[in-house]
Amino acid sequence: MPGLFLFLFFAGCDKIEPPYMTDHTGHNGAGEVTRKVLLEEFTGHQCPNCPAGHQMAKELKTLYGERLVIVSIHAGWFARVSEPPFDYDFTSPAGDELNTHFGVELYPIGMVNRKSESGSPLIGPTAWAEVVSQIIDLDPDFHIELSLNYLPEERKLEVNADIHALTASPNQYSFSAFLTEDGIISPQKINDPDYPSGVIEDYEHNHVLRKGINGTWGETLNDIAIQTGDVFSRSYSVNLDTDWIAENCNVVAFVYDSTTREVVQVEKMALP
Amino acid sequence: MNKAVRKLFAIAFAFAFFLTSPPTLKSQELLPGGRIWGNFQLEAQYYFSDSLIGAPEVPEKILMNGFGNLNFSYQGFTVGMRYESYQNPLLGYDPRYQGSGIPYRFASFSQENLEVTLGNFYEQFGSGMVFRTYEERDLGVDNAMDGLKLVYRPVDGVSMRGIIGRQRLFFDTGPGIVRGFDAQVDLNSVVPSLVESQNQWSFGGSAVSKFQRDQNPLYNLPENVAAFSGRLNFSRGAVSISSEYAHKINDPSAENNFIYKDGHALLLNASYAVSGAGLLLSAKRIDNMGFRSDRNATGNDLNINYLPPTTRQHLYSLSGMYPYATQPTGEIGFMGELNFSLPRETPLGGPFGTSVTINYSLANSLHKERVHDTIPVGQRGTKGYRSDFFRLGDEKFFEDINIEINRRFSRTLRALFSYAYITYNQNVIEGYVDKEMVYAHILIADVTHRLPQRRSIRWELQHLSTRQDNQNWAMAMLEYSIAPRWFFAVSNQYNYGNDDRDLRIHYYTLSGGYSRGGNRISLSYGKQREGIICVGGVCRQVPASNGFTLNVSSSF
Amino acid sequence: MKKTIAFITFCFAFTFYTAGQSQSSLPELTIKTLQGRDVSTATLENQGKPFVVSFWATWCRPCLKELNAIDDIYHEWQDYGFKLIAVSTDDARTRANVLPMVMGRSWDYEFYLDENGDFRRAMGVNNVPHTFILNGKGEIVYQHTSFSDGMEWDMFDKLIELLEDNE
Repeated sequence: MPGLFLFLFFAGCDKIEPPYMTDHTGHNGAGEVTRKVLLEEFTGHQCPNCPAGHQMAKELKTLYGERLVIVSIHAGWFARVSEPPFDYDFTSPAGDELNTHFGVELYPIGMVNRKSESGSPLIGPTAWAEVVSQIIDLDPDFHIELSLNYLPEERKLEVNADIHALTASPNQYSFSAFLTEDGIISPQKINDPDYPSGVIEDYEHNHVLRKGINGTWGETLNDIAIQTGDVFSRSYSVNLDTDWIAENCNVVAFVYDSTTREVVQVEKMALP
Repeated sequence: MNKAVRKLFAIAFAFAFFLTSPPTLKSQELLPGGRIWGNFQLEAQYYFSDSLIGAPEVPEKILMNGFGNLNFSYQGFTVGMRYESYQNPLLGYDPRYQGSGIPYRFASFSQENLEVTLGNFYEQFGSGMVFRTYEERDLGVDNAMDGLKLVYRPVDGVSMRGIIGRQRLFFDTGPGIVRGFDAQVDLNSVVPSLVESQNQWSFGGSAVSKFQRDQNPLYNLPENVAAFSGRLNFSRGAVSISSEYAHKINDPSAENNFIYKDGHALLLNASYAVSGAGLLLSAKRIDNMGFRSDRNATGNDLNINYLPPTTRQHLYSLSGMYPYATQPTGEIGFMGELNFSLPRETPLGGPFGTSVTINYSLANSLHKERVHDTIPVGQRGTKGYRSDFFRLGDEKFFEDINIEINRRFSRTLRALFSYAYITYNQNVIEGYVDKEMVYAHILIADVTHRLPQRRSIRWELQHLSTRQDNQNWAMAMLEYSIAPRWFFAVSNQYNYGNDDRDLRIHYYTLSGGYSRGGNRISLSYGKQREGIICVGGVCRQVPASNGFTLNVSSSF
Repeated sequence: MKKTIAFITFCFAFTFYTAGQSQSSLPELTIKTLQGRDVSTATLENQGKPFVVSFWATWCRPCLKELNAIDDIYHEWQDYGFKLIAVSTDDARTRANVLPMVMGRSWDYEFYLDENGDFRRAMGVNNVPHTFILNGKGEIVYQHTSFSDGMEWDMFDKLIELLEDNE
């Protein structure tokens, strides 16, 4: 009888030969309306393992281009403001609330469309690619059209969104918009033999969550079942803090199922 | 069943169990030759928040971990199950344990030389370097298989095992399928001419593979990953030697940062033991040998194998402050331990004898070289690194030299003295980048005075001195026990040397317990420092806490 | 639903358990000698005299205290023909330590290894030390978890009691 196991065993053994990376082409989907995927990573400037998470997000971004939207949420112990050089505050009230709500204890960790596999949507960086690949080629349920107007004197940003339903659905959805900033140069702890000091002084922080434009959870989109072709319009305005650089800011807007919290469509637009 | 009902059941179950347990529990006989047995354990804690020691606010106030095992056997047939309930999990346990359920149930039967298990089981091949499923409640580790196990013993001295299944992941199972086969031969039982031989030989081999689908768009991943091991044991008189070598094919995972290098592990133990003296020498080399049934798993989740650390497990609170955990990505370790006793009624041994343990251990990094000039060591999606088998790396992970003397001075006085010097690489072991290497000297005295009527007083004094981390600590403990039922203890750990005056905290505890038969109940109140607890080199972070703890344990 | 059924079965069986009382012998499983040979637990006995089976581990402080304390009076136990069988629950990490340690301490007990914990689970042991006292027929008559100084005399008393019951 154990011989059967032995047979099963030797039949299955996959020795992989280089190249180990698969070919990165044909996924960027520019122009047409496709499903886009939201990757939110929980991170911190004092988290030595977090640059590995940023790197993974970057690799995925290379693969999927505009179809993948990244938000870096700096929250928790590793994002704390302490003595220089770690005195820059990357945290935000919305980030803190998300961190608490999803019960984040390990960093880096992320959520792909806030999709829950076994009770929690939190998954480690090496698992992001799999989940993204499973959902990104599904047909889109919504199309989000954004238009932005920025008034530099008042540091005021006006956001208009038209959300087009592409399929009918009985579910209730919510709409949420975040403000993110790229290109913040500030120290980051790192766990890498190439940096024996453990710190990169001029690290570039991208996709940093700055503010929930319509709060942390956004607002409800529909009370009754959605019909194909329905359009929901929403407008908001938000003020930028003085140390945020407008040219580096983006609006990330997404629609999610109010019950499961799963994100179904996302759109990103840079400030004009 | 909805949550509220389940919760109610769990509480009723716990109470019923505790209240109906007769004072002297005995195993039961339902059918002639049948047997029912099991056990039950509950740990509940009431928390106060304490910002000074870093004890977080617990919204539930009370957290509880509990479980009960119930088994029944009749002739060669056994069924059993374990009900577990975490309402909600205690601080320091994985929050994914939240809830209740029956994650462990099995049926098995044995007939002549065949044994079959269906459902959940624990099993280990050799020293566990390619396969070991086990449970360690104190750590929240349980990677039980859910599947099928066969054990076949064709002749005396030969056993063969086959396993297949998925591993437990909290109240679910992991995504990968694990399959394995193991054979063990005790040569002296099998070969007639060796039955009377002084030389005892045994050998064995295992093969284990896991299957997990590759859905990763970035990498071309192996869906089937196999590991093999061979072992050889020899003993003659006072000498015993055991050895095991394991090899694993490419297994890119979160743990090794998706490198495609093969894994290796070697474990050697040699001992010499005669009455009054025993010497053990161990050597170990581990190279990229993490093996899990989910390539994305981290922490203590879904380990298929077990890599034993070759360091001493310290038993006192201050000597256990800096415990070592095996580094599966690579380490070389050595340990030597000498145990001897000085016989009673000799000048050195004293009237009642003395026993001494001297131990040294070292864990060091591997020497890792680039596979190519342009590829950094450990780069994702490459072979990772090259490593010379015999060459030590330049980073020390852990070193420990310690001596323990245990002496009985008179009929009523027994004492243990111990000294340890520990070097602890906080960055590697705890995953920091900017902490200093810790060098700690620890002194311990543990003295027991026997009093009349089977009562005793025991006290401990401990001191840890180091310039790093939280600097110096002192600890004192006093315990009074009335055998066989009662104990009461009071202790205090004081971080008097902390540079930060505000953090010179007293961690005091008061505790008492009662045990009778297979039942034990204890209650304690006090502060617990943040720390790491380890069993068998697997560790769990324990956050600081302040509050009451209730422990109930019962076997029947 | 499946869970509900399983749970009800559990409760049912539990009610059964509270219904009756009697004594049972050791379950039959495979453990190993310190030399690594397989031994069936069914063969554990003491030639018709009562004996003790104690679960311990090299890393468990109260276990070492217990074995030390019994060692101090073991010659008295032996005068009556009593025996202690010490079953180590040490795993791969410390298993190799067991033989040099028990030899180095000159303990005179009968030692076995239960590395996979099969025997421990089959005896319902939660934590070590956990001690069972068996009568001359090999039936479990008493058990105790944890150890405090003086308990070795309690065990000794129980063993003598059992010896007298036998005669």
